[in-house]
Amino acid sequence: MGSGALDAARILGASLDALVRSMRTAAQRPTVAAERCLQYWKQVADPTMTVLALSLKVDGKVALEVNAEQGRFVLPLFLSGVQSLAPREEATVEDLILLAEQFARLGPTVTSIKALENWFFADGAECFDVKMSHSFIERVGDDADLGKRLEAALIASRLSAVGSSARVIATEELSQAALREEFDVPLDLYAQSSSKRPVTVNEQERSSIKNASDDEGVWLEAELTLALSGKHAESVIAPTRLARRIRYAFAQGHITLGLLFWDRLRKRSDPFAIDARKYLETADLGVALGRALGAGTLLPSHVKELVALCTDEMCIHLGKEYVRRETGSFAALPMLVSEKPQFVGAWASAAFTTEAVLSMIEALSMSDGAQGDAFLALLGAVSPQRLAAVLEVVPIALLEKSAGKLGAFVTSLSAPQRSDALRRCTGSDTLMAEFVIPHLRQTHAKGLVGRELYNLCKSLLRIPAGRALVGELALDVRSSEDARLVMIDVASQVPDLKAKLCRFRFSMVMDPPAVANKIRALKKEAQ
Amino acid sequence: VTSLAPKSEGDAQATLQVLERLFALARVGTQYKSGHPSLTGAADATRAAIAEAAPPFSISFVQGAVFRKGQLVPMLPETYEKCVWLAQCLARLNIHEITFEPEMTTTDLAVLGEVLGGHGKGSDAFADVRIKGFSFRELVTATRGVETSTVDAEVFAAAQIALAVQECEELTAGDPEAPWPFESALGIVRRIERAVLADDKTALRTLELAAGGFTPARKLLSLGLRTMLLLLAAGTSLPTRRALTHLGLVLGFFLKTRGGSPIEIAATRGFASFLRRENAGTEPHRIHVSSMLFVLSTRPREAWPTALGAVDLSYQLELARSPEKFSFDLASIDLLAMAVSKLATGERARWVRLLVDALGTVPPGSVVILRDGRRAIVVGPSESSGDPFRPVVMVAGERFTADAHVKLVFEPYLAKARN
Repeated sequence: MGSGALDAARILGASLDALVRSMRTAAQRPTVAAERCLQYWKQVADPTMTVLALSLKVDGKVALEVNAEQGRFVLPLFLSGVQSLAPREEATVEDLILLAEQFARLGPTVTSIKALENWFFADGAECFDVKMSHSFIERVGDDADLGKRLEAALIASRLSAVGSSARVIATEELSQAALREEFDVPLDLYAQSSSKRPVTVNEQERSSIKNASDDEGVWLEAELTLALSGKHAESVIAPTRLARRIRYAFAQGHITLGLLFWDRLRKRSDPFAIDARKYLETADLGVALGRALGAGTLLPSHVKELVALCTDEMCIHLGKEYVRRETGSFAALPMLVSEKPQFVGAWASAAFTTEAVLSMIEALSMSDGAQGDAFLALLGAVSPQRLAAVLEVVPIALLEKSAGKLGAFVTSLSAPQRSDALRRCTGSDTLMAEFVIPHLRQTHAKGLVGRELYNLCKSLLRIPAGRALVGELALDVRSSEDARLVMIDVASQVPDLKAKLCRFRFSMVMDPPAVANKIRALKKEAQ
Repeated sequence: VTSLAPKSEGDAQATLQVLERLFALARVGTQYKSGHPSLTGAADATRAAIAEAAPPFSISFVQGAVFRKGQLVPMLPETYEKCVWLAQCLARLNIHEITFEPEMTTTDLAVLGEVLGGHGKGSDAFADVRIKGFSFRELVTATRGVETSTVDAEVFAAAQIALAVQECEELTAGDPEAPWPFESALGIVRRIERAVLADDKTALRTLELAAGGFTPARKLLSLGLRTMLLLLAAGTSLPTRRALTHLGLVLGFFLKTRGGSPIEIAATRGFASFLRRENAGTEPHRIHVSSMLFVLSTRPREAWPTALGAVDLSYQLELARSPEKFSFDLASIDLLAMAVSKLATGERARWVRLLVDALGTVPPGSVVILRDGRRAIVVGPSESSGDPFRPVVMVAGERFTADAHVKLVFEPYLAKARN
């Protein structure tokens, strides 16, 4: 362990001390100080903080030493019985602030030390692993004499009473009691039946009771119901706690519960609900939900309800997180895209695999309404490397919806890719008219050569406008020499285009020799 | 038990003064022998501080902390450092607890200062020195790192229950319309938990053997203890056990001297008192308790979560403990017999079986008759006999396994004895 570890421990100790002090003095919640402290704490290799009487240690190094200025909370903390504490992975800034708030209340009084002990006992530091010794508040367990004296006195007292009570309680009263059904349980019968058939619990039954009793969903449901019951639950449950529990419901797979209570929360507009929503509806919940959706904890069937509850920012984060992975299914995308097509571009920008993008495209093509803009946003978001693969499989119908704006995207493709993309679009009259022909006319088929261009031009011949374009570009001096040669080849296979090629043009004088020779050969052939 | 009642912060302040003076005395004792004016001056100041602190009292130095009559003496770090030094001086002499009587004189204290200061003869320094009004002893658990588990578990459990009874008395003396005394109840839950984990049989026995009838306080504790035992037998998690034991205390608070309200009514009242507080809580335990109170008071029995079965069964038994119109209280064995024959129906049957599992067929503390006709108290099940009707019993301080099946006795508690 080098000086780095020592520094890290010291920095953490100082930041915790500063946080506790600012909890005592600052008018506002010291969120920034808490953020910094939690960051330091989580960065330490072993975040277990050992509490000694006059110092705190982290990773075996002294983090904070008590003196007249700092660490005034350490001794009372030690005396409350805390031996060590460490933040769990899920600990948030809010959790640390709660902890620091308790530390700030500590002083050299039994009351404050006991209050802290109670707070820990009541799971107040639920996002920290806390190791506690038996409290220092009292030392009763050491007093062996007390216990022995106590038991001896109790036994003597009971045994002296034994035998006498039957004499003191009137026989009549006992008879009356025996007549009452609830008391009609002679101990002899109990002994007999227990001897014959001992009452036992099998392990399966025990386990079933344990699981049902500890069922997190049951506790959650009860807590959330109370929180939103409107029965002054605010005095028991803080808005932050409510928000945390709804998050927890999602994290632990109690999705229906989470959705139900979030929905109830949204339907309320009182200050408590508004406050709780402020803590709940944050970008990081969107991320967590996206992760849960990817992990399968959240099902695609939940998506519709979920996105209806999410803010736009949350939806964006949710979708981004969902597509930001290498493997797994993207079964939720159709529902996501159908519900929030406006965020497709944002999601596509975060997609880790082409498969995710293609799933979005598929979803777009299946959904009703104006998907054109969403599709264009998606195209704008995908990388040029992925664009070709995307365009290869985009349904023609979807391409048609944004035909007029496709040109801008294909220019970034390599010549063969562009050629393929364009040729695919020649299958649609709409795409031909609104995308392929205008694009080629505008670019003069720049960069397209050889077999790719030949095949593209052959496809263009399918409709009159395409044929006209081939003829036009074949004679256009702004087209490259190679492209023109290919197009002349293609055009010469169509009689009226061939005739057009053979006609006299003033621009002939500007034709490159190869083009001029080719046209001359065609003319000879025609004669 | 009374001597362990929490002391005021004022007592702590006076004790701190004594510690400060004692520290000064020992320091001066390192330089001077008795008879020197400096040591006499320090001894006189110490005597005055002791007189102010209302002797007699004992101060223990245990596991890095200082206690007066078993209660922690909180202090500032500066004082703590002095106490550590003082504790080291005492530890050298194998002393961990010192007791001051009112009759201490300046001369005696000067001698004490001299010994503490190191002028004595090592660990036997007090062997030839008699200081009037001053006594000391060594504590087994005083050394750092020695846990309370080294203390006899039975003793620990019995003491925890005895203290819990006392605290329950204080709790039940409170105003039912006042906010729920959460911190006090939490302290009782902690005592129950410690007692049960240390020695559940002793915990049961101690409560069962307490003198007199079952006061509301004793029933309250019995309810909590039984709930904790049931949940432990089921193997539930710590938060579940704590929350439901606390819930049991809230419900038990509304049990009357004889009889009581149905559990739903007790829950409604308990919930109302739980809500009577100023600040929102953040501890999960508090919320768990209140949410289960809410469930009990608002939902039909069929919709109660399984876990509430433990509290419900415990509550029903305590409700039956002191039957109305009668002057006696039933013992645990009577309640257990009643549970097995009358309450083991439907969903509750599982909890009844767990109850027998947790308490044993013949619960500790029950009065039984041995084959030779002697009356005995059941200490707990016997491992050697393996027969629930041949438990370990106690007669006149002697413990042994019953040599034959014991006879169960209907031995109710005399309610009038509680006066």
